Amino acid sequence: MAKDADDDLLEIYALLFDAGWVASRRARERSVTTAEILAYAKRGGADNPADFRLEKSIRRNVEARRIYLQAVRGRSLAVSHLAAAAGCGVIARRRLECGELEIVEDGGQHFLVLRLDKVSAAPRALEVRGEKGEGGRIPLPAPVVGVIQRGLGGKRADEREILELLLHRPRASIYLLP
Amino acid sequence: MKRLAASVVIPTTAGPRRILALRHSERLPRSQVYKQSDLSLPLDISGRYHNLVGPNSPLKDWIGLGEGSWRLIVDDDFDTGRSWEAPVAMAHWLREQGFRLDAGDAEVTIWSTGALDVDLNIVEDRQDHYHMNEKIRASAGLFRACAERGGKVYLLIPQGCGEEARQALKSLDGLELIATVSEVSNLPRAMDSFALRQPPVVRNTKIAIGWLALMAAFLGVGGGWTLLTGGPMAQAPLPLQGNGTEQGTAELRQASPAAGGKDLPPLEEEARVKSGSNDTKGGEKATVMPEPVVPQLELIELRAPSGASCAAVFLGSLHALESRRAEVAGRFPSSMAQGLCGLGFRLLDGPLKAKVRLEGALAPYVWATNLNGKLARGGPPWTFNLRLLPERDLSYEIIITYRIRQSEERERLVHHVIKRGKR
Repeated sequence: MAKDADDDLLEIYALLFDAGWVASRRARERSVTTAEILAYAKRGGADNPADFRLEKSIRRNVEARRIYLQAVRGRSLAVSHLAAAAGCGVIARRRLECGELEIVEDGGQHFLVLRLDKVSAAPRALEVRGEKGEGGRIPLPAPVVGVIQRGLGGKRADEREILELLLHRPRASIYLLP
Repeated sequence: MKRLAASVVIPTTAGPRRILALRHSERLPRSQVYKQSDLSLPLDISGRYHNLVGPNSPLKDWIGLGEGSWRLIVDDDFDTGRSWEAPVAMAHWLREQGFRLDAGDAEVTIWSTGALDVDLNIVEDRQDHYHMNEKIRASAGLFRACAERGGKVYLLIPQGCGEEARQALKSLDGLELIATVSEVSNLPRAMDSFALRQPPVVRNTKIAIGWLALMAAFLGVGGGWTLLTGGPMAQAPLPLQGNGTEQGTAELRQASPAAGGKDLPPLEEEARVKSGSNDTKGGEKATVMPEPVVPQLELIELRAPSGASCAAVFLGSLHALESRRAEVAGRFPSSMAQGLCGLGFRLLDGPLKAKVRLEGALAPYVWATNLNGKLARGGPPWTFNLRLLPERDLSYEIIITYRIRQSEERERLVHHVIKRGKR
């Protein structure tokens, strides 16, 4: 894989401090193959275990992230790279290719409401990624009369991270997956 | 303000599932069912639930659910199927009637199963789809817990399942005594009969015999009821009979002519004069015959029998004790709040028809549709349940509107519900 900024930093760190530790860590990260990344991108919508080793690689390695996001984009039903109201404050709505995504707060809990256009096939998972690869994938329930609705946030850390990206990061990318 | 509590159970073959909360939302577009341990992903039955309570649903029309969506929260997941529909509809109805849905310590537990059709009929059990026997056996622990805290379980089940349910209950060592089995065909009809304080069809013979004994006891002492003095319910306690208010009253009139429709029991008047209350003057005034067109109203207090709660009265398993109060000089004698389950009015004399509107502090304590009523002279009383237990002194006005020779007339009466102190 191509050498990136992370690698430069690690080399400086290795010269200064612990060369052995850096070498072992780099070996672990390098052990992620392109095939593994592609398989991870193609995992099922509802069955959705996060692989921490691959997630770490996607967040730290620019090349790994590029391969992963390209694969996700390739199989997604709709992509949104920029929120329309990319000003300040909370982004409550985003327009996607197949509908509109809204974050609704009700009774101290956040809900994701996705209103699908009539012709759209129903997505089964939603992936949100920030500019540095942070985020993740969550399953979506079946639509009811053209609307997909589910709770978001709550006790789970990965959902809270996704909520944070959706609400406050206009440049976060959203992928709807089958 | 403390609301009455009821617990609604969705029985499954893997054990009972309790409804923990029903939350209303104006902002979310779809109604959903969630498990308490995972408030993120809705259960698979959510689509069907939205159809049941959403716009244009028969349940929404019947109960009068407002706009917006609902979140139903249950304690555990349950398998698919549709027998959860009847208990869920019950839970909505109870909530709209002012009940607190309480999974823990409610003394009234509704155990119901059955799929609903578009007319809210409970679909009959044709090929043992409801698995009544297994569901009751799986709920044995719940029944036992109810029995331990002195609660009661109402089994509302589809037509044709009664025998199986009774057999299953009998196998649970005495637990059939706390359970009332009712076979229900149409949910709104069954609920209407609840709201009128008529018991659901009680097919459990032991309970039916108990009822008959209780009725016989009341009828037996009917002639001497006016001799009871002193307690808050002492003045004219009239138990309602099983099949409808009118019939019950008629039978009681036969048993004790003094309790009959138009005339006030003389002993009641005497008791009030002797008690030296502020109404003494009014008492004298009441003996003067009023103009025939002036409406004469009678207040009816509905109370739970001693040891029972208003919830049991409300759900129809117990008859309310009824006591009547005559209007005196533009006001009714105050009512004691303790044990007061409902109120009612009857038009004794005056115009043929009158409309009644309640204004003042009573509004939060009754359902909005009960703030207006219609009365006919000598007709059945108009009664309503209190949706909350009054915890402070209340006073409200009863505004009576009626017509005399093309002109509309109004009268105002005052009634106080007091927490404690002199009547």
